Amino acid sequence: MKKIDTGLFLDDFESEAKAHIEKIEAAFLDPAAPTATPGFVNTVFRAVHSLKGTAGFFSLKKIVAVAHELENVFSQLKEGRLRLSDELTDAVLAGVDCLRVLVDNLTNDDAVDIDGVLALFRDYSAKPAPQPKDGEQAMTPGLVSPEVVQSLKDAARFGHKLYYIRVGYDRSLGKYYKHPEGIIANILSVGTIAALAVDGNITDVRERPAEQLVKALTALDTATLEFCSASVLEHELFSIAIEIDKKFIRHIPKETFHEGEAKPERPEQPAANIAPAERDFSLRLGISTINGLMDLANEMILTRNRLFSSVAENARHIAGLAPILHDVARLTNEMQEKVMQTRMQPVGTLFGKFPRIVRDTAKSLGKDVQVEIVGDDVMLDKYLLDALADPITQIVKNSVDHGIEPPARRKALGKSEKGTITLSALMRDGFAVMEISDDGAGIDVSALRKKALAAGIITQEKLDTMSDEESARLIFEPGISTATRVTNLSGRGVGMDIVKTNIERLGGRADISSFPGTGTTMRLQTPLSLSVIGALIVAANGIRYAVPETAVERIVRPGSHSHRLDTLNGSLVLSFDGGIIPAFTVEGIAAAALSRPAPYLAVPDTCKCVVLKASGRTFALVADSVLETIRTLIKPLPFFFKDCPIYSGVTVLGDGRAITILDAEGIARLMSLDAFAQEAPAVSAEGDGDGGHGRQALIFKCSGAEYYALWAENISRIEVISPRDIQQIGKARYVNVGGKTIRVVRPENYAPVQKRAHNAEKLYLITVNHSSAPLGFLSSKVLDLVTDSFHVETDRLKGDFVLGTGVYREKVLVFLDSRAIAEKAAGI
Amino acid sequence: MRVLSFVAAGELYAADIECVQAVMRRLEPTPVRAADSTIAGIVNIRGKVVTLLDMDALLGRACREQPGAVSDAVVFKDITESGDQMGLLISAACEIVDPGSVQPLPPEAELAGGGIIGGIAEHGSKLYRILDIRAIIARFTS
Repeated sequence: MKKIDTGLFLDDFESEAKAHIEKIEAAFLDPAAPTATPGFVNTVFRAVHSLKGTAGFFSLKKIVAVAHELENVFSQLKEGRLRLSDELTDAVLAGVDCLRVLVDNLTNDDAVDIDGVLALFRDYSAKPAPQPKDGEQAMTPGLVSPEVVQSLKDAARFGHKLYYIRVGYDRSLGKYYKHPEGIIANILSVGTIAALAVDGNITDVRERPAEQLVKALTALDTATLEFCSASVLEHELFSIAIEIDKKFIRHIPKETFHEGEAKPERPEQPAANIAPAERDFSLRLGISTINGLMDLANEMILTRNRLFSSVAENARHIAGLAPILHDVARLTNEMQEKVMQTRMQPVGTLFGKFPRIVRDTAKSLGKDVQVEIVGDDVMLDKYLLDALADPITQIVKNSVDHGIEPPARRKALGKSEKGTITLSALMRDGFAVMEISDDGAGIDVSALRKKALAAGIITQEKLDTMSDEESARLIFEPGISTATRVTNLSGRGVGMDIVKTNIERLGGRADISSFPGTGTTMRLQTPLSLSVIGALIVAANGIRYAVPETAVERIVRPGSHSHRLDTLNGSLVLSFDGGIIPAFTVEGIAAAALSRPAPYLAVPDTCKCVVLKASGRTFALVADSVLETIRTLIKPLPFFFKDCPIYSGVTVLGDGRAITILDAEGIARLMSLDAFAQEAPAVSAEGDGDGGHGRQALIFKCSGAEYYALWAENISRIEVISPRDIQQIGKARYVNVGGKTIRVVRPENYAPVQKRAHNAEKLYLITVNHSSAPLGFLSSKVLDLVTDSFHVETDRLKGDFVLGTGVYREKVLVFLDSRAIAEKAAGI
Repeated sequence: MRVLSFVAAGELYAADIECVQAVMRRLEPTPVRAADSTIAGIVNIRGKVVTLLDMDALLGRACREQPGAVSDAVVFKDITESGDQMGLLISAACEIVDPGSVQPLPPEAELAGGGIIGGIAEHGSKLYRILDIRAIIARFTS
């Protein structure tokens, strides 16, 4: 039992120690502080002193040894005997790292080597250290055994205060006491003695009654006495009562070994007292506990809902029930919110680690870089913070490595030799927006463009249309790295695309802006919490799904003129904002995920299209109905579904049903919308409107380079066929589609263009509806269904079967006269 | 070893009682499209989302349950690293018995068992196919 208790205290110690360590590190890394101001030195001295004191309490010798060296250095700084140098900062940071490792391995520090770190301080410790005051000397290790902790804890429970007394006793001088008995008698008159050491030898107070202690002491002329004592008296009164100067008595906050509710004691002598650790960091809860609480809170809300629906009818008949139910509703909601908040942590906990990373990285590159942090109090879900650590680290390292110029170059450019990286966070529209900016060279856009072209990531044609701003975004493409050399930090070309993917996986977005010579800003936008999202609940084929609101662009009801659901290439497409976007049913997506052919599913007229946007691609999800918008708790996708790319998690609805959450990113990737996005710009930026002023045409290609167009109103459907499906009957060719035999024609045969053989595995059959005998045009690629005020010129290209030519987005389209072709084919 | 016996896929099975968390009645799993064919769906059991598997499908046969049909299930304790829980659709839970020793499956039966039956045990006049829960989980980890 006692062993477990000590473990708990160690846990407390661990969080307290980490808070101290962070404080020291932060102080040394704060660009404004290391000018050895008294305030700065006092902060770090107090932190390390407290750490050492408490570590001594637990007999953590290695921590005491390292902390002692730091304390020694800090006290020399304090007295001005040592000046803060870069070298010294390095040594301190090494010491801090070592302490961190030791604290992480509290129960098993045998393997941790501290000699290397201690050696760093040899130069500094050679200087005579000031004699510590009695009260400040380290406690004899092991003085506070688990038994003592227990008895002190018991005493603390009854409101006793705990003191450590260290006093030199010299009989000949009789400096403080005539008799050693006096000390003990005095202490016992106002409190208890839980532990005692005479000259560092621990004396068991339980087995040796007070008289025997007195007897042992009378035999000694000089001795150092250490007591652990509990008393109800305040520090000052206790000092007066036992007639020992206050400076020899140290108050031990009971939080050290008892997680009590009492307010932390304000240290009366800051340098000598064990300062209570930062309260903010004192509570350690396993994430599983919090998740358990959250599950319970959610269950409670479900149960409340059930209760409400079952008593709703009778509530009127029971006097006073309504306000009680109201309170239950409010309390359960508040409870859920509070539990949610426990998962939130300030961004500062994440940003705080970057000054160190930047310093180390910059140093290894011979650069000088400082970090500025703005808005570190934005609260984010702990999961999210953890998930952001790697992407931000990558960005920051990139900035130091490739962004910030070497000092000499900066000087030549008229910049300050010291580069600055700014980390900022703010809340906007329910999102956290984090910016990582540097004042470095900016991205070399022309180099990036060359590289992208050389790597085959982009075509020259596309590059020509891209602004510098758009070009900078090429940095997010896989396989791009602007660094001319590969360093051990970055520059292997595996950075930014992964950063972007990871951010998007979190439901966020990543963007970059860069100005040559001025710097680069990387902007990351993420939801505040991964655990609670706004979600649209849709039903498809009798199953409900959640769709994260962040991915939803709009909900449209197809059927109206501007939002038409069509079949194109055998796939659903939705006319949306004057362009067409692919549309999918969940069944169709699932079939693709299982690499099965899409099932034929009649889409009801009453269906809704949820327009989703992911990775810049827009597509529609066809649902039977859109039910509601809720805020819901995301649970991770059970690992049984790890091969399902279309879900991002699961959640439980108000009625207790578990449903899956659709992953817009995953669906976009699965349905390989990249190709679609590149070939058919889905959204017409020109705003060619709702189609009211134009005419709809289908643009497609055949074997040659020409673009053909057919008026959409003449087209009945588009199918995918294999060249092998085409059968020659007499002079004509036919294909059997869905039980119907369709005459097939090649558009090249009817236009004055070159003919080439089809070698595509997959062909499209565009069926037109002029005559009772159906006719299909063969196409190698269907590009787009567009609405435009086409101006068809008849003079440039003329033929019996061509209406003329038109221009759409700088492409010349050959408008086919489908009626004439159909009549010719039918022999009319 | 004490086991919980149950009928699934028309046959008598049993699982180590130590692995069983609960037998749940009348669950309505939500089908999950695009999932492995052995997955009948997901259900919420006291705030925890549990994945239910279909015994027929695990044995490589056609599922007899309609997706989302109301069914009883035996829910197992979480033994996965991720803490995810799994259950099996059953047509009836029978009893807890102590069949004594478990015999290994004959090689030809092992094939038919889809690798998820750890052995055979006899109790009274009945033969129990003892499920290997870890083997079921392992099917999803490969």
